[in-house]
Amino acid sequence: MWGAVFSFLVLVAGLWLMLAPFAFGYQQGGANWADSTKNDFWLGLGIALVSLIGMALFTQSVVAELRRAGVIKPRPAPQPVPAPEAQPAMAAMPGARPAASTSDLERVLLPMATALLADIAERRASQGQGTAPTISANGRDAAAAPVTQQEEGK
Amino acid sequence: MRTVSLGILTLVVTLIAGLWLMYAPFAIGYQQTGADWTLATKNDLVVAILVVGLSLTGFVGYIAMSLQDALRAAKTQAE
Repeated sequence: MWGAVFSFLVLVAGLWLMLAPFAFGYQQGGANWADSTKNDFWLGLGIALVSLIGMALFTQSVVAELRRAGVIKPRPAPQPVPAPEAQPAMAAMPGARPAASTSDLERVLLPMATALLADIAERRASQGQGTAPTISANGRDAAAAPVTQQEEGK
Repeated sequence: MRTVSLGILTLVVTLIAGLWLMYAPFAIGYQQTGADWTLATKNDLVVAILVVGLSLTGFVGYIAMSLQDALRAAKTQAE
């Protein structure tokens, strides 16, 4: 840090050296530059640039030292972002369900419905009325609706 | 132990530039020897002293601190 601070002060001195001929008035604006002005301006510019490089180098050195001491954590390498999987356009629409999820739902509900119908059939058989409910190929009870209406009518 | 930065070289360069700035008014000839000093010469001399002083202090201070760190590291290693 010491070096960076002194480089900064030298940078300010260099900038002043560039400005001084015009600030003090020994170089008129628009007139040809005198030898003193040329010397001051170009030397000031050189000093400013060199001290700027010095500041950068000293700062870089301080940062490297802090990194080595573990005060500054090294920046993690950027991870490649995986490309998002292509989603069908239907999935993006609200309320739209893909066909696969509907069949999954049927597969889950089918044993429950079967057990429920078997239970109803058993109860009817014990009461000695009605026919046993059947399950159609799509898992729906063909006789369920009238039975439900009958039960609702009771 | 810290490594010596390359920035130390820039302080050497600015030190040399400051020394040149002291000599330039007489070398280029915009200040006659024996005559009253012009404003340009006075300014150059003041800025040159500043630049030389700052560069020298920066250089010596940085080297001193580096040596101090090296000594401390050597002592720690010896213990």
